[in-house]
Amino acid sequence: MITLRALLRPSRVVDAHCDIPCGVYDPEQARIEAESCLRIIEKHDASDDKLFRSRCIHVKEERAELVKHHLDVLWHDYFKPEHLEKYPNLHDTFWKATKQASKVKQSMDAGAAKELLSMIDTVDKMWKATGGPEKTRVSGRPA
Amino acid sequence: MSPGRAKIRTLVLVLVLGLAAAAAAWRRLDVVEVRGTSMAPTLLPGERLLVARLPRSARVGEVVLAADPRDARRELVKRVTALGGGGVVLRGDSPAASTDSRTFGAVPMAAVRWHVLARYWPPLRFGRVTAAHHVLPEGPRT
Repeated sequence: MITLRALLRPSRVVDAHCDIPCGVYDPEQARIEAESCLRIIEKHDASDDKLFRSRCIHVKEERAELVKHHLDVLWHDYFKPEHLEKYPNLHDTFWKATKQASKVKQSMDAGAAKELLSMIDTVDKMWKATGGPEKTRVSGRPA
Repeated sequence: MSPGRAKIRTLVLVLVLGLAAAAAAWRRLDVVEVRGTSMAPTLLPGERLLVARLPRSARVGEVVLAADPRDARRELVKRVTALGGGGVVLRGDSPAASTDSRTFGAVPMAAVRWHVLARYWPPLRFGRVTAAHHVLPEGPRT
């Protein structure tokens, strides 16, 4: 017997959906933070000041975290299934790059920071080849 | 009210409920709950709707349920604003707070399988959800 209550109970939820993607993406954001990491490591190594060195470590960890964040945003929000078809190694590239960012966060190894920069450049190539600069950046900036 | 009219009214009510139960059993009618605000002011979050399986293709103006082309597990509730070669163009009634065909393009006709007949909950907002043919104001693309 179907009761009135059962009849009126929703069978599922439907979405009047809104995800507010601003649609602006650029691997440059990740690259600038990663360049910061590299420079900070170099400044750390060149200094004898204990306090300055500990500040370097602290700030570098923050910057490395931002690299991970910016890479994640590109990965989750900018790249679409059709890009994956074009670049079957897309997930692997991001996985390795974000792992590398973790490595930079954990260590004071300038080599690791340089490796991270080259990984971000790989992402940048994919972003450019998929029309990223035209599709996601606001045009009309003075040269 | 005369006893005769009360009897008729009860009879009609039983008949309507019986038909609804039969339709539900036949999977032609269903009830769903709204999440999100992109269909405001027509539909508000938490409201419950009576929906019917579309026996035909979608029409411009009506509120429909469509599979999200970006995530098939999600079902969207939007208004049809155009039909074309590309499929069905969907738009939220609150365009400034809606992710719709402006973002994901037209959806295939086959993705639109239900249309919204009425809102039955909350009781004070009970009423038919009708087709609207006016041109919706363009909000910023979000």
